Amino acid sequence: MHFTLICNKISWEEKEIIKAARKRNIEYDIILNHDLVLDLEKEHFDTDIFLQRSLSYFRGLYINAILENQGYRVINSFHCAQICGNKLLTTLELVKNKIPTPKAYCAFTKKGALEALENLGYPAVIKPIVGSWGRLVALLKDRDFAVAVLEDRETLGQLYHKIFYLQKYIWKPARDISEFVSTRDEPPRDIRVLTIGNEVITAMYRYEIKDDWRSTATLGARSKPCKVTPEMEKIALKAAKIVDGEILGLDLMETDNGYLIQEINHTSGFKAASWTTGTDIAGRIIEYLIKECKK
Amino acid sequence: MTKKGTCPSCYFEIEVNDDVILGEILECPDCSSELEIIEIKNDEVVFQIAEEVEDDWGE
Ligand SMILES: Nc1ncnc2c1ncn2[C@@H]1O[C@H](COP(=O)(O)OP(=O)(O)OP(=O)(O)O)[C@@H](O)[C@H]1O
Ligand SMILES: [Zn+2]
Repeated sequence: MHFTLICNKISWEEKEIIKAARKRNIEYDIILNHDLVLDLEKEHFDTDIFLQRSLSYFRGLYINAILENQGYRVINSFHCAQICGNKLLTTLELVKNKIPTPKAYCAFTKKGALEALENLGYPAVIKPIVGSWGRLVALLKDRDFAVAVLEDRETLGQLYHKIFYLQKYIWKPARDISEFVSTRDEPPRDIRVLTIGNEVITAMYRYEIKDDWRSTATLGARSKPCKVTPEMEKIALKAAKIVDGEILGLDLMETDNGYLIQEINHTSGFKAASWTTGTDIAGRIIEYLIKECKK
Repeated sequence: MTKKGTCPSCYFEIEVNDDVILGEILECPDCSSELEIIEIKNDEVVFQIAEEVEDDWGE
């Protein structure tokens, strides 16, 4: 079997995947997406399967579209990337399939967004529909603050920053009401679950960063291993299935009424999860590719 | 064994391990520029300034 890894650059995850492939004597090629030129009619690749790990959402998406159109098998698929890379489309898919997720609105102007925020109540969260690593994800504590953020985005934002995606703020456990920034030892947390195929392979708690309200690993959130409960497994695998996801990182939040799916990552980083839980995630990915190629 | 290359930003001579991979990113120890390895020869590597993170980058 031969696979082709597509990525922006070789980061820790890509190196681990390459190591895992070498260990198993699996042949591979690496395509760096910035150098790629693709004939939209026919490209010849001597490979069994593509592993799409582009950091750049739009590059990855269109590469998938082109490859799949020519009959190549790509993990994760175009369909999966299209939904997971877009927070609005993810919410729609989750709502359609009755998977609990934070309530959200979409608006296109400041006026519309303020109306949506009245419905949601403050605090609320605004996010770009495309983007990651907590970038431009803002906590809107009151109307004045919301006006400032919305005006900034209306004047300075990219085209898709003007599609306002507004979400209900979820009070995580261990949070003091009215205190957004925790100073405790065990700060508020959320859960990152990793799935491969039809299986949850590991999970970890991610703790809010000191003096921040977010728990994004790339921003420096601490993490701890998390025991996978049957409910966690059920919601994660159901969500993975509806988005056609084969290798995913799902973000769950805990509430008094059970888990919510907060977002689904289709090119999930796994450095923190590997180190925290000791799971050989790169090895599991390669094993999955091998299995899929035998089908 | 190591290989050598020059930082395109500050001309510092950087040594890297022999097992580097095309597309690998490292930081110039002198000027902190993010560099991408774009060519690997016998005992030499070629760097270019890595791409800037764009708004649509993420996981
Ligand atoms: N509705 C919400 N209520 C409370 N906290 C939230 C909410 N949405 C996001 N957060 C917090 O903000 C962080 C970043 O949000 P989100 O995951 O949507 O953005 P992202 O840019 O995709 O980041 P990541 O790379 O962590 O996935 C989350 O890790 C979570 O801790
Ligand atoms: Zn330099």
